[in-house]
Amino acid sequence: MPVVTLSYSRLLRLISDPEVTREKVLDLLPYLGLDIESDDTQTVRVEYSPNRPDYATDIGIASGLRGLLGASTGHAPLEIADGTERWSMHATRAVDRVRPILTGIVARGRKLDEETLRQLVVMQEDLHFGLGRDRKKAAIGLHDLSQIGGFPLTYTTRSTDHRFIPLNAKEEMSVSEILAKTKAGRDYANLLRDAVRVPVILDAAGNTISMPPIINSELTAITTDTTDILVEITGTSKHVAENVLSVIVFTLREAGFYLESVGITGGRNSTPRFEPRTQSVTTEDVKGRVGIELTRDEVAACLGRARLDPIKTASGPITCRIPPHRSDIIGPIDLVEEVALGYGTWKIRPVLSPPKTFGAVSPISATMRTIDKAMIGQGYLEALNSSLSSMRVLYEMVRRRPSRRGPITMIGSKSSEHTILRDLILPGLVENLSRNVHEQYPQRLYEVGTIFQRGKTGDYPVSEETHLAGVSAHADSGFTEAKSALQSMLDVEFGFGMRTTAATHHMFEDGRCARVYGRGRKTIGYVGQISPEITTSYRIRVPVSGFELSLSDSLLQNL
Amino acid sequence: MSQVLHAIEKKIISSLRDAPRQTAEDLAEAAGLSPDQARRGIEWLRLKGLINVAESKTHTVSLDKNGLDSLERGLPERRLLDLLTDGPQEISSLQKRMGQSFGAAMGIVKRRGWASNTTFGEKSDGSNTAQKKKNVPQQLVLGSKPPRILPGEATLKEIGHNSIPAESLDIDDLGALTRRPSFVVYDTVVSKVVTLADAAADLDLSRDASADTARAGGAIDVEAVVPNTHLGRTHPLKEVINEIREIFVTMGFTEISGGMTQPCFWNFDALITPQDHPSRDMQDTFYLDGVSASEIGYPEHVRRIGKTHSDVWRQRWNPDEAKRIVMRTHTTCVTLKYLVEHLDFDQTRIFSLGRVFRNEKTSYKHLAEFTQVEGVVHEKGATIMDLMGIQEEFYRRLGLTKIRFWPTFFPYTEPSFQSMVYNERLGKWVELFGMGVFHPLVTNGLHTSTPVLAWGGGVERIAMLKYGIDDVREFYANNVGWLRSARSTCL
Repeated sequence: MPVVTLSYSRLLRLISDPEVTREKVLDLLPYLGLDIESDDTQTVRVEYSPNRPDYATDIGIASGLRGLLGASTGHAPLEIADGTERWSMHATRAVDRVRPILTGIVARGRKLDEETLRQLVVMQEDLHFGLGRDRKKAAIGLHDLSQIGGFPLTYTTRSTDHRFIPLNAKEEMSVSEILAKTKAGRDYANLLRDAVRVPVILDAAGNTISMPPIINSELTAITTDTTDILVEITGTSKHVAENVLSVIVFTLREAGFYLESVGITGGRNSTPRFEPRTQSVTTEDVKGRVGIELTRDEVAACLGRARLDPIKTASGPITCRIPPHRSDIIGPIDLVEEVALGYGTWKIRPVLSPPKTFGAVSPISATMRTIDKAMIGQGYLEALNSSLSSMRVLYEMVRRRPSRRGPITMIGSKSSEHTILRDLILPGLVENLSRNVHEQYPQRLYEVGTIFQRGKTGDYPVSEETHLAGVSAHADSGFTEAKSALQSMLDVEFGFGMRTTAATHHMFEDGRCARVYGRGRKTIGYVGQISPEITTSYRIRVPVSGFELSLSDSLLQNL
Repeated sequence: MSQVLHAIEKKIISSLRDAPRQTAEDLAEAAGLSPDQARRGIEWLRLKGLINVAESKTHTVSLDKNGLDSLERGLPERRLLDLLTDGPQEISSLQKRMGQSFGAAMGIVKRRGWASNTTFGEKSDGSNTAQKKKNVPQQLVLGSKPPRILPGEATLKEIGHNSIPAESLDIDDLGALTRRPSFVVYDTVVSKVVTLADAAADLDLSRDASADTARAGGAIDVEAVVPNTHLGRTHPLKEVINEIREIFVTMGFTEISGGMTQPCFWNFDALITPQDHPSRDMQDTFYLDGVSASEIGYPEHVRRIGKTHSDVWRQRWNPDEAKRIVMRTHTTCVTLKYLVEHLDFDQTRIFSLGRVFRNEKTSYKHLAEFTQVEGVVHEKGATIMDLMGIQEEFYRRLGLTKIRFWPTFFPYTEPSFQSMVYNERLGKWVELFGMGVFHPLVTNGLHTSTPVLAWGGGVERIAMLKYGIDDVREFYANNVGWLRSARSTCL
């Protein structure tokens, strides 16, 4: 989740309430849903939830805190002057196939200090990543209005030979150079889906001001001298683009800018209207979910403290105007949550009522408990290994070969130790012994866990089974010890008479390996002396014996 | 207290009186004890303060695979020189005869000037470039006379099949071997050197232990320090899992379990996670390569989920995407399946404890696979207050009493909270379980209007607090020393 760094001095100035201290702010931040990552005397780092992109700046957070403090409540409707005569943008048919949506706004009359500018850029990136689905559905361009060479702007496409100076560059580059040489170009070229012509926004003088969703032009870059900003958003989803725009509009308004609309035409595009939606909630909804009993007026007051805009009515559900930047509020449940937040969740008291049910452990847990008991009784230590393993541990080091269809493999694992699903537990235990050669012997380890195999054709494609494996390593370890450990466990705890016949297995020494049978002819496991070649290659200097047993067949079903 | 000495101890002391400074091995031999008896006796006497034990390290050298091979057949350069004694030889034939070791051998003999390259028929001025291009066979011919014993040969013989202390070897000659891959292995042998402590000077060994025993009425030295035995134990993490399981059961919850591999349908779609949501990305979730389920759920349920997706997310729902198989990222998939099958129950209290997976690089605070606990209450009239009440009771039983609930966001519960517990050792609030009421989109998918309270999180987090561990990887490292000694501190 995204993290924002707040400076106390700025935050306290934005809250502008002399009674509010640094400690009070630190106490309240978590109750806005902000997670404190770290703090020192000057700053606090908080993590905000992806459903609240308006908390990406201290401006948005201060607005929330003022609500919780009761200093400002509700949400004043947006005032947007009609600017469509002066400012307009037109999308041509050329962008239909690659990136059809266009929207925007003009914000004027204020300078951005360095810190606000920095936060705005961070917010832009978080919006790109979250709501914008990594710029696919929506990408934002912020421009210095005074540097634009005249309106209307045209949103169209150009060939890859088209040249302009991209943001933070000194010289003109062609589109193909930008795609190949800049980081943004390499990261986002895939969004253009190999289009021969790429989307660009041109001003009336023919200057390129943006190449969405890759990069803006250097010409219109915003700085701390900028007083008037053009926000343009392009994308593939109209409602997402407008939701993203609303968050920026909210933030710029709170920062003191006044807003003028931009006339948008072409394709399915139109000038955004920023109309608040309405949503209702009842006192019963609140009681049913949260458990707190509130009157209608109290519910309305809570919504106001959550910076929403409740409408005064005498009876019936409480209706609330939802500001456009709160696209996370979709149904009554979202308002219930806002009521709880506005109420102050620290005031909600836990209630403990007795259950009407009786508890029980699962059958598999019960069996595992029995096995734990038996193995511990024989002096074994329980080991826990990952279900995810590697070719090295599962096959190469223990001289096994994967079956014809190969091991079940994870796509794109970030760790080389976790690339395939284990089909046996024993190889992991032998590897564990190799990491413990400096510890005192005898070492006896066991593990009960899940193994994975390919399912039979037509069935669910992965079959999961519980296995038990054990190893014993010390100077006198041998076949007899392993067989006797397994046999005693099965006999004493399960009343199961184990049968074995001579067998060969890659992991065990020839002549010291047996197959274990359950009832019937089915093999349920192996027991034997681990092949000295394996222990030698692992540099284990004592003999190792061990076993592996499938519990699904032998113990859970047949007994 | 009078010292009561075991026979083994007496043997060791008397042996040390003869030779005051001995290694543990020498002592065993001199005193006629088995190595294990000597080890134990030394440990007892050390604890009684009757002897001093100093550890000394010796670095030893033994031959590795290639070294042993050369011991048997001679160093590669020796074998090459032998082949050249009959006159110049074609390089390709030498290569064939010597195999892999040829390259290294040729390097050495050329560098030392014992042999050099020549092209068959090359003119004396060496300018016949045309001939070189025609791939005329290269030959190797003897050069200056090599020493009778080549560098490294003496050391090779000296080590032989034994482990030799490195300090006893000629370091320069040894260097000729260590530079080569898999020739020698260095090892460190720790030996204990034992000497008598002052307190042992006046001990009367002639006193018969049995006489002492008789005088004391059958007593032995019951105050003597004895070593720990290594217990068989369940894994420390399993102890915490078992404790959690017991708390749940005693609070009226029934344990459920299910597969670790799940179709996307149960892991994501049934929770109404949009099909283009970043959490479904392969960057974060393990997808199984080339594996898909043919069936994913109950047809009516699947249909309802598909419709919810198209309605809410305004994009087509793709059933094939729902059939791909992932390593579950939470145990809620198991919960959902259970609820779909047991909707008619008046009150359902279930919990699960199982492994969940994230495609992450492992670090001191992240694992690719960890254990999740999840509790669920499906009951008419259940609210956030009840959820908080159950949490408080659960934590109280674990020994955690300083608890707060902070509001947060989870994709499939609303409202959502995280419980914070104060940890004295770390001196800060630590995040434990996430919790919330299932979002109506999820419960509508299940076809129930009864609230579902759910909470859960990583068991390792709790176990880290219990065992005072700061690196979560310790739980899956299977370090035998730790498994034998791990002790849970108070939370």
